[in-house]
Amino acid sequence: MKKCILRVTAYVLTVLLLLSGVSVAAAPAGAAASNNLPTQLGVDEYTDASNIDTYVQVAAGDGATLFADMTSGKIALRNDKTGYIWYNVPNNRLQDTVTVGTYASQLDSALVVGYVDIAAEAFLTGVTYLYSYDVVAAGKVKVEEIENGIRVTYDFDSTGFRIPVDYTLDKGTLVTSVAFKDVLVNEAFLEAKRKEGWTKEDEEYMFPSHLVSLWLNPGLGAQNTAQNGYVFIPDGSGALVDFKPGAMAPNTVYTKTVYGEEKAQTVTKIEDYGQDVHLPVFGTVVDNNALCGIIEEGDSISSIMAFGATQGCNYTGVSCRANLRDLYTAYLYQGTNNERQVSRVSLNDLSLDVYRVRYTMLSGEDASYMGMAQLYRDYLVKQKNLTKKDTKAALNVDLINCVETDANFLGFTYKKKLALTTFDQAGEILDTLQEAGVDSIASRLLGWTNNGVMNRTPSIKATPLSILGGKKAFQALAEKATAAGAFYPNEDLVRLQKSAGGISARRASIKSVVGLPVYEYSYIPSALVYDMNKLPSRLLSGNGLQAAAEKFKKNYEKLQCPSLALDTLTNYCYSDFGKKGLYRDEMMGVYTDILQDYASTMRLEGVKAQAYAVPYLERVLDIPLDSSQYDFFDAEIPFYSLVFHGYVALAGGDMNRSFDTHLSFLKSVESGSELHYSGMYEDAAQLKDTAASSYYSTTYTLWKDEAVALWAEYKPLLSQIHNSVITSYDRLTNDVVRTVYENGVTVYVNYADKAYTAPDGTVVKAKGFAYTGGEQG
Amino acid sequence: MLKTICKRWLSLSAVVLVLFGTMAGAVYARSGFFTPYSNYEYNYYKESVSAPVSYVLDKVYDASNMNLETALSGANDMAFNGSSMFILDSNNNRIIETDVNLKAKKIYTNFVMPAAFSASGVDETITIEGAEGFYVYDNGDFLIADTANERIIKIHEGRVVQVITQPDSPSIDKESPFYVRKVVVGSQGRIYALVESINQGALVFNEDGEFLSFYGSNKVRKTGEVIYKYLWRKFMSEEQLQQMYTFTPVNMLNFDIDARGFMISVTQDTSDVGVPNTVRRLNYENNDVLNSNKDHVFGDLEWDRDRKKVNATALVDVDVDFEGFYVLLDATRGRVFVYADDGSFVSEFGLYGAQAGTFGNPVALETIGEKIYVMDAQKNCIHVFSPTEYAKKYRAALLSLESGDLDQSVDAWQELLNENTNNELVYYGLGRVYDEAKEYETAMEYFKLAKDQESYSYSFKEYRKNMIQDNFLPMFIVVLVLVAICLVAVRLVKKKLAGREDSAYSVMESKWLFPLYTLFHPADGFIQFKTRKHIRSWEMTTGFIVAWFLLSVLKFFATGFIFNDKRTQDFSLFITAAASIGLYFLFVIANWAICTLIEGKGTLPEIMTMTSYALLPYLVSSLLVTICSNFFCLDEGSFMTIITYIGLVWTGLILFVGLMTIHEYSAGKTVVCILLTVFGMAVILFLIILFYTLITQTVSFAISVVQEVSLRL
Repeated sequence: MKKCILRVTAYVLTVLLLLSGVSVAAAPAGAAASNNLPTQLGVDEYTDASNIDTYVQVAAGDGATLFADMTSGKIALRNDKTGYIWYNVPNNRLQDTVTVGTYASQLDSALVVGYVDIAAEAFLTGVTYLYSYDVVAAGKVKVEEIENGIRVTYDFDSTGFRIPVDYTLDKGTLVTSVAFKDVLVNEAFLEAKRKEGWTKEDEEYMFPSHLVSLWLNPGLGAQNTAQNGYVFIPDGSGALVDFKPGAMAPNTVYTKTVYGEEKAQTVTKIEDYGQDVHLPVFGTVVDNNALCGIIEEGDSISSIMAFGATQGCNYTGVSCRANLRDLYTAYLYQGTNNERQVSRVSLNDLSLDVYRVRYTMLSGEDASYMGMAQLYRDYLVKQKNLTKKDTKAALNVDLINCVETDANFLGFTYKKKLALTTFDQAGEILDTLQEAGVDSIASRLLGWTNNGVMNRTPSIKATPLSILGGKKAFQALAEKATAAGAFYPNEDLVRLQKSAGGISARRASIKSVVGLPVYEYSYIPSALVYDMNKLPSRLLSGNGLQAAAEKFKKNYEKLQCPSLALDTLTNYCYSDFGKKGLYRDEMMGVYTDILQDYASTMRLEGVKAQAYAVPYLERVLDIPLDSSQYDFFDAEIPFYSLVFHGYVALAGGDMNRSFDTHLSFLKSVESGSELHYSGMYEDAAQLKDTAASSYYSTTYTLWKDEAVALWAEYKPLLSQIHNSVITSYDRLTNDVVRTVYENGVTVYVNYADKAYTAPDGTVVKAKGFAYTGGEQG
Repeated sequence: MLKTICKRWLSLSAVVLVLFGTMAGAVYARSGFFTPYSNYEYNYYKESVSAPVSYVLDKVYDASNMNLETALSGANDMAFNGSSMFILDSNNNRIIETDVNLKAKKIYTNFVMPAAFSASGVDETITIEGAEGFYVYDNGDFLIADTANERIIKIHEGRVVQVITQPDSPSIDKESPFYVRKVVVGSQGRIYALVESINQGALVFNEDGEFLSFYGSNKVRKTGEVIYKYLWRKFMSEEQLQQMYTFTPVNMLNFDIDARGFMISVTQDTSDVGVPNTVRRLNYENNDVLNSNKDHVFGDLEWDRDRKKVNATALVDVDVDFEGFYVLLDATRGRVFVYADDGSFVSEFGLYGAQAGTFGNPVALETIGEKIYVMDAQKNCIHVFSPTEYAKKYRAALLSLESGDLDQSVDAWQELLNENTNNELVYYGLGRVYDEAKEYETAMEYFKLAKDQESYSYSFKEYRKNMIQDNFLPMFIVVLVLVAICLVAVRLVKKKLAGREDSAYSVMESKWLFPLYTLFHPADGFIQFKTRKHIRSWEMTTGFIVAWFLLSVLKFFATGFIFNDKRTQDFSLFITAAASIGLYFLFVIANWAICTLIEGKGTLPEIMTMTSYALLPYLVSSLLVTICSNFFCLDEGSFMTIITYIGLVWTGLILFVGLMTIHEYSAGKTVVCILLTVFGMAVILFLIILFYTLITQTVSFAISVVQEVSLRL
């Protein structure tokens, strides 16, 4: 008995020693957890009284306690299990000598407001920012207790805003919200101020402005360089930034709009190639504690903001910002010598009542990106109806049916349709693949209707093209393809170049902030400027899209095909700045309504689907498997797969256009994704020198053998893990990753040039994969 | 249980530690689907088209993984001497020697200037801060372009053994500073130095540091544009002159010596996009052997203008790799271009940006084997790129073509084609293979796709020869029959022209056949417009005009590939119509207007019909040429030119005689009439353009007013 106690004590001490050696945790583990109180570090006799925070408890329950400083409005959230405390302004700022400039202002503020001066609108070059830190210092903040939390109201007197931010504790999570009905702007602000005793003199110093953005809690969870852990940014597949000083350019903050940059602006030049933010979730992990933020209301109008430790900044943090409006540049007299740039603020109304972000604390094993993935998945299951779709692991094959090219008759140019894969030929391709051993194929038809792959007119008729075989051949193919696995004819509901079918290109397409129609260009690959020789596309506005979707659905149902692929609808998120146009938040409502309508009768496939679309889909193609790979990122994780794998079938980009097929294959194995190829029956050489020349090398005979071989190699594993959720993903060495699935299968992928032996004895060959825990193929 | 907790904590922290690479080696297991830059190549029409990825980032090296204590700071140059890489980290006053894996082996610093050279008379340590270029000798000595101190210094084992300062030469301006930017050593130990603001070329010194001559000056472009600008300058004001293009030759920016002793020089000329010959290969006689037969344009060929500034490729460095390919660095967009040594484009990659694989400020590049090393002075690191499978195959294919080694089987070319069906060189290669194998028809198909008219012509010749040989008898019979028909036809025409016994006019002089009559008897024919008015047929007139338009269209589309490399989308209906129908009406109206003034007797309908009938020879020759172009090869092109000229001259003659006849002029007056008509055409054209411009200006003004109003609302 004594020996046992001694042994146990010895173990506990060793564990404690190791812990202290490994991490410089702020709070000791164990029994003292729930007595931990928020403290501010670096307070000494020289500290000004106004900079000292005193916290009082304002809410508690379900393993969390919320503290607040009732003078400045700063909050602290304690995880009662581990005792760790999260501050929305880092509690060691007084000790910090490195952070300067705007970084310091951002870290010290719980709210950063972006605005644009109405009077100076004609000379605008950018948005100006105000910091709540200055408001607090001037005493213009009011903190009041509300049910389960506090409301902090900031008065920005010079620009005429009153913004209340609510912090409440709900079932152990922190909810930060801004109720828009209580936000007072300009006239309303003046009225309220007058009631509170403002004089004429006070009024003179207020200049009416447009409220543009609200950046909430830049410093919540921000850690300095001494801590161990990382920040998760949902860029592309997912990126991690550790707390050590990194390659972030000084004076910059990572800003990326959720669901892709706003498309209601004409972009004449590509600045860089990067990935989009697909999921409105972010978080920070410090040792064995984590804080994960999910944007519940207002995800479509948000941007993810992050800064990393660099010159002039000691902290790394991630947060989100609500973009109520934005400043856009438009070009007048574009392409002529009089080309001029104007900046305008979009003056749209929001349909949202409240902007809400929920922060959940995770501890122990869940304090990692894997825990965040599980948390986000649970949220989608509970709140967004994400359900497990019953799909079978398949090889995804895109079949390019028809493109339009320019042809000439007696001097008159007209558009000629080139049949690249007729419906019968598509059936042949499927047969060939099946005979070679691919027993499950998910096919997608591109360009089977309307003008072929590139929409010229809005696609609503849903008539299979006659040069491809017409309706009969289409239905025969549908039967065959559905039997072979799954069949998704693709539909681009969003883009158009000309009017047709009652949808006017001029009236139903979106307008930019200056009222001019928005054009989506294609770009010259060398100069990265828009290609003036190619006709640009327009995007349908909310009403146009709803009308088109309704018409299309009616016509499509006549074909009696139970499934459909929607590419642009699941990926694009944009606004319409014309009169009566919808802003992103309402547009997202339009998409989800359409998707819901379609999903009620059909099985849907999406392409690069955003978080709002995935719950309605059973399969997603072209999922992000890379992040944008910025210099300041320290690692990349397949977070998108960690969230959705097992619920929805996922596949990466098309392998035949990858620069290293074997690498792409290993990456697909790593994330449990299906393989994806794109092809056509005819020789792709005829597309040379046409507008469709980007489909080079897609003739199916070129990749058929490789696809069959890879399928044979991958199938034994894929069929076992296809419907299973990922429970962990770790990088064991620089070149080896391990993915573990719910059903016990563990997959090792080795990118190195030599074989690797895993801790459990599995030998993984060089540039290959191996798995345990399931049936070997 | 505690054991497992212990293990879990350890593994968790271990995982956390391994998860992150160092700043430079952020751990990315790339998926193969994404590169942070565009990948393209240029087609025959000088347009960029998407192409497979050719180079991807292999690794990024900086102080953290190079065994360096202090980070690189704006390093300026690097050189590889076969076994070690040397980096000129001048701001840190050191030269770093690394192995091929960029691990620092040795750091050279604190160079000593011996008493013999120093100003103070004693040994003193010097700093190489501000040095912008260097060269590494095989024995490890350094030749440094000590820019800030206006000299070149040679360092042997840490001590300066040679100093070269501004030479005393009448061709070098003593007043201007001697900023040496780059140095390189050629054969016989000759030192070549690029000095800022000396544009007679590179300065050449011998081993002992004596100034010998200049080398490699760029010639001023004597294009028509330059001459025109020169004349225009005479009329310009001071301010305008200051903004003008200069006429002094642009100096070389950087150079390299290749394995065979040629100097490859790089000039930066951003005055316009597509300035040719910015890369030259100079032999010891100072002749550019790369561009001697044909001008080559290096870099981006497409026009890009950003706020009135032309974004032309600005080359800053060149390296010749182990297989003889030229690797160029472009500072405008942060791109690396790879060219074959005959000047043809191979691949490109890179962009400015803040992502892994993009550049902050690329200043130098070096190749080791097939990998390309780019030194970045802003990110203070060296990016290493390696070629993809596609690029490796493509380079191998290019080399085999160059060496004339066509043993490269069809399979190898087909493999390349599988990766990129847009690439014209691959089709050329396949065409050559089939040509060698004497399968001319297939070879022709491929040459057509490769847009190579010359090669197509050769294959076509052989193909035609074989066709004729194989089908000689049937063809001979067909030709005999055709000749017989022609003779009979000529006989018939002669009879018809000879006139009937009972009438003064031949059968040819009916309304429908009249154009045939005027073909041979213009004077007699056109005079009948005045006497037999009904002989004019407006159907034939319009018929000929429409025929001219249709034949122009036909010429565009149906001319054989050997003489016609145009694409469908290049066809402009407006231009074709303007050049035929428009030209016709322009001439007719101008002529009618002019001739009214100089007492011409012709009426408008007469002029119209006459001009239209005069077109017949031209139309026939045009049709003939279009048909023949499908059966002739390149060397026989002169026949077609002859036929075209015959048609034109014949038309001209008929027109001349016709004018003379209709307007009843003398020959001399007809000449005057024609000259005045041409002038009249110019005037009408000018008026049309004027009105068009006025109208478009008004319309755009109206549109802008509407726009402005709508913006205000």
